[in-house]
Amino acid sequence: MLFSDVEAAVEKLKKELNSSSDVASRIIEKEETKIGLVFLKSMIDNALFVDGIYEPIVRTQDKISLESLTSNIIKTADVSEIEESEAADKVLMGNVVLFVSGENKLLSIDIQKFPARMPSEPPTSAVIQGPREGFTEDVKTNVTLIRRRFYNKNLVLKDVFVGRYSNTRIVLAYIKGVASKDVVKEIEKKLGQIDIDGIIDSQYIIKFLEKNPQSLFKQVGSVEKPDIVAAKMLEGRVAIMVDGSPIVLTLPFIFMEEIQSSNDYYNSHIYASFIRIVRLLGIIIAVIVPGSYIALRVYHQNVIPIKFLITITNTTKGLPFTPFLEMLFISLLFQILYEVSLRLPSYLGLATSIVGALILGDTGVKAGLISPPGVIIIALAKIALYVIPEHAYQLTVMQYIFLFVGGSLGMIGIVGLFVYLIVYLASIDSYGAPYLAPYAPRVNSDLKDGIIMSPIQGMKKRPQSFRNYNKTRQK
Amino acid sequence: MKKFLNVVKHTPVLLMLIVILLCFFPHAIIAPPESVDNSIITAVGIDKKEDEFEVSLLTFLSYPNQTYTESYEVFTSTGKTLSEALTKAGLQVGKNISLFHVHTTVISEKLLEEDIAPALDFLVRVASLPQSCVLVATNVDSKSFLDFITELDSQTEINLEELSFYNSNYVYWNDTTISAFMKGYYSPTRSSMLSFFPLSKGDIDGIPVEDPSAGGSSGGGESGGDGGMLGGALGGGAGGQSGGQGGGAQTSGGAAQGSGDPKKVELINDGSEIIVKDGKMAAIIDRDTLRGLNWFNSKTEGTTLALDQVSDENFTNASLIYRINAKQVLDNVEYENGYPVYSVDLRVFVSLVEVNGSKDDRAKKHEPSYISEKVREKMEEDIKKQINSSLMLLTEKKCDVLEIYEKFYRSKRAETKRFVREIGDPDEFLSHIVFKFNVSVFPN
Amino acid sequence: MTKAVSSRQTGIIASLILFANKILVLPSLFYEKSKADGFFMIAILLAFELIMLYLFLRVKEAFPNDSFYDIIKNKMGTFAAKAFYLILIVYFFYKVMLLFNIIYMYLKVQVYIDASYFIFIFAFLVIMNTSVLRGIRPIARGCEFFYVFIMASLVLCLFLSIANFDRLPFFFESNAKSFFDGIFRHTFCFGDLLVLFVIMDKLEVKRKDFKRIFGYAAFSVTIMLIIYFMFYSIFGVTSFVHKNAVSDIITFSYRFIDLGRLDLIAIITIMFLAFFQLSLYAYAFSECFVKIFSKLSTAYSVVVFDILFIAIVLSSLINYLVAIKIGQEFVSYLAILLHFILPTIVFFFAKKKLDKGGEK
Repeated sequence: MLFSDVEAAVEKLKKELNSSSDVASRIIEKEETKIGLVFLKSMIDNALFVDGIYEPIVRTQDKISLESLTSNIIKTADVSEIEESEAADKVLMGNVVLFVSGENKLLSIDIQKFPARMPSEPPTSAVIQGPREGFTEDVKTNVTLIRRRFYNKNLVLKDVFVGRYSNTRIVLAYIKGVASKDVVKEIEKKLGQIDIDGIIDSQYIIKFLEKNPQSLFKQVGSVEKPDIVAAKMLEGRVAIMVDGSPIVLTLPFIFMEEIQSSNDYYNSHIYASFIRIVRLLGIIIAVIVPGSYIALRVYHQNVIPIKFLITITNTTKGLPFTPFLEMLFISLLFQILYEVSLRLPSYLGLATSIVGALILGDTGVKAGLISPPGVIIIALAKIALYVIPEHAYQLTVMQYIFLFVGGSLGMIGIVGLFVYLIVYLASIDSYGAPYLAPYAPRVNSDLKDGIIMSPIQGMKKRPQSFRNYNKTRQK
Repeated sequence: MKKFLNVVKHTPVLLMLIVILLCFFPHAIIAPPESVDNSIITAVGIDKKEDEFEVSLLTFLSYPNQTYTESYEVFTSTGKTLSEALTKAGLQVGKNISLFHVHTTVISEKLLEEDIAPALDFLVRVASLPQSCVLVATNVDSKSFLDFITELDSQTEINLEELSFYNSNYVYWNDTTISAFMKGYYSPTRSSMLSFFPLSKGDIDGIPVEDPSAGGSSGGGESGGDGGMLGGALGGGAGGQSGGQGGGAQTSGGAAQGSGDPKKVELINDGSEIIVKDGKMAAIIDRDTLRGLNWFNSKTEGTTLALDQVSDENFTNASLIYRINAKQVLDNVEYENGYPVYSVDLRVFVSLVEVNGSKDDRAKKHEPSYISEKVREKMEEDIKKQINSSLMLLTEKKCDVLEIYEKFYRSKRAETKRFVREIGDPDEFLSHIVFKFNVSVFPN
Repeated sequence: MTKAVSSRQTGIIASLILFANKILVLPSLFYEKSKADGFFMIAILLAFELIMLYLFLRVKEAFPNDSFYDIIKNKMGTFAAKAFYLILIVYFFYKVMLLFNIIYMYLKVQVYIDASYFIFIFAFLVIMNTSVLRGIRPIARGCEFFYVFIMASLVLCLFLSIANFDRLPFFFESNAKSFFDGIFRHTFCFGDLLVLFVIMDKLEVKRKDFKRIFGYAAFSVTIMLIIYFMFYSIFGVTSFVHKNAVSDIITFSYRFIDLGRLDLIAIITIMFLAFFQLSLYAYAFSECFVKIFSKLSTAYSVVVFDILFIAIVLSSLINYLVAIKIGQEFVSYLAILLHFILPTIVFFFAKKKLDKGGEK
């Protein structure tokens, strides 16, 4: 269709966009040619619009055509020809759509701009030594952050748009020849099947990507830093970036990744091994200790060494609660304080910590409502939750389940639940990767990046726990 | 409903878990700590009173406090059997009796007049009593002894557990746990050893404890006896029992109330042990005899050997005290002319630590490795003498606590069997052994 | 398609299942029969276990993809296969009851003084059902995950028991009759490797892995021999008193009294072991069930198993003493059939096939 009446075409497009208040248009008349521009005022770079599009068109002496506009006149990088049917979508993404009378196609010029954060160090993945960049909410920035780590044609980026209303841009990134084609296909298929009104954050699509969405355990990696994503892509994983989210997802995911941290690779492997053991211990303490304490007090007093037992009996004598209720009470107290301090402005945080620590804790003990061992146990377990801050919520749930089982069944319940948990986790697999690899099943070459880590030179092969190509990393 | 069935189909075990936990949940909420139902007992005393067992339990009583105060009380009850007595004791405490934390079992000398194994059978059979529990004998009734221990702990911070631990590590020849006793009891020689902690009234070298009820009795007259709780026990059995009740009622301040000096009772820990044969007491081994036995034991080190009236090229009539730094015991068993010969090659490494003598003597030879030919001879002679006197006692009592029979049996099984058949009584085996000692002393 | 269980996992399963029923009450039962010569009894019986493992590996080599049921069916007919599997069902159920009772008794005495029976029934039942429903792969992976921990704990127990070492046991004190009678009467505690036969079609075992699997089994055998040796060395003449061998050997002396109950290490290890062993038995039970009633699914076998288990345990039809008595009086005879005759017959089939293959 040739645009003879540019005004009408512009009006039609504006109508298609429901004549929102931020939809704007300009008509430039240049000899016989009429040029219509449609854009969202809220989504474009004003200066670039004036200097790169408007002024050049007005001032140009050349004959206006789509070809001359693209090649000579317009001074921005991203210009493409589109069909009229795509126009509305492009405008919504912050492009300027340009009608030229007598042409049958339109031009779309990307000068999208909106307020965005600069890449800064994410608070939960801070490193002592290492890159401090973090992803931002803008997917374009995120793509740049990844792209500048691979000057290689094999880095492949694929766009998928999901969400009936949000039409969110999702970018799949992987290294061709390293990541498994099957995994990429499977992910694309799963993303294509999503039919939802809107994707607000990358966490939305996690549940769509997981094989066992009912599970408490996360089966998709979430990363806040480009260096980690780059490392994971080199191992053969696929990164999924969602516009509007600073969290990038990686697949396949195994449990061991929870214990690994980017810091490990920037430090001595001996220190890293030690820290990994501490993290594992932290997880175990966080999950098991409160439940075990109850089990010991309710069922297995005789196993407690006499000196401890005397302290515990003396300090818990006369408490109004049973051991289970006492621990539940302290635990919930902490949970409430935690939720409050998360949302309160920092100047009030001090006040809550005084109320929490001093008034509730100390006075509670003195008043004989709660016992010092109980407070110590819960404090220890709650602090230990945050050895892996991003997974603290899973551990919190597990902590309560163990608390419950410890009180109900005692030690055999705790050991049984532990076995159940491992058998359950062993049955999960994430895109062909056994969840508990490299320990169950044992994958010998991946043990080098296990709890006991070997130096980077030792890791000659890509992880064997999941599907990938080109097994050799270094020669 | 369909949805629910679908969930059941996908996660049957999880649901089962939830249902089960829901069943147990009320229990979890209301379950009190085990310490409400079970008493914490740290020592058990067993006695025999007119055909009935008397059991005393040193029980930990909790009361709310933020300090680390431990308070104990002794509960006593009697019964035809040990289990009956314990059940009765449970009624007194108002809790089940749980013996998991018992570290000491006390039996009185009187109980040792008969076979104690039946009395201990209950404790051994019930696995709740730790096998590592120490078996201690005393000269008073066990209840008074436990009372004494409670006082000892509160007044001096010395507890019996540490004493017996020290003894078994540094003083005794062997372990003195219940298990060790049982092993000895069921062994072919049927003998074993117990630690012996006598109490005494006088001023001997013991650990003194002021008897609080002695002062209290003169002031308040609660116990009725003249000696107070501990003194009463030493005076006689009946006095001890009534005194015990008086002692239990009061915990401190006897001296402040009383007019005169409070009476002192002492715990004697001189390393003496009781030899038990067939569960009955055969003999009390004093410190000297034990020293003789300990020459066979390379474990006990750091003891001293005193030589009196030494005159050699350096000293005249001085007493030299040597510390024994190490021992090497090499023993060998064989049959010579059909008779068992037990030969021991003992090497002792000593150093001179003290000289008692004239001013001149004390000024000499400050090297710890000093030893002269005469000293060496005298020392070797002394050691042999000590060993011989100990062995004589063992032979006389037919208690082979050194397990020499086992050594023969192990290496010369056929000959030993034949020899025992010849002499008829395996108990006589010890008296037929020819002992050969070769002692050599080295400065160290 | 790769099989559910790798060769390493096969070795680990063999290694863990070997401990079932052998390290708690058996040493003292042996002692009652023939004094410290129980050490030789266990050595002989464990040697038979290793022979059984060898037979299994050869059978597996000859029939890499067939199930045990198919082998019997093809060679001896459907009736014989079903009959054998019916016996195996009873046998595995008996094994579950025996192990459950031994573990129950042990835990009850050691840590659960006042606890009710239900705690044990449910704790074990939930795990057994989970394992059966989730299949052999998670069980195998679970075993693999805990293997190092379990073995390290057992080795630690042995290491700590050195402090209690008293004297060498007296050997050759018993007479031959009671010795061999003892061996025969206690075969019911052995033959655990039959589990491997039942699940053989799910195992990925190549000829080159034989040594490795043997290595795992031999490691367990070595540990057990040392446990027996230490047990008789530490307790000597009073061995008959101690019904919980592994945990008793580290609590004997009071040298560690300040550290509290060290046997807690043994208790927790035994719990882990028991969960996996019971799961494997239950899985074997379900495998046999599904083979006999080929129209019914695994879920039915779980339901049948649960009903039988709960009914028998609650009615005390088979309790601790009954389980051991049944074992000594009846299962010992059954064991001859299952432990020796059946594997040997199948081994001959396998040998025939292997020889034929060699000629070609």
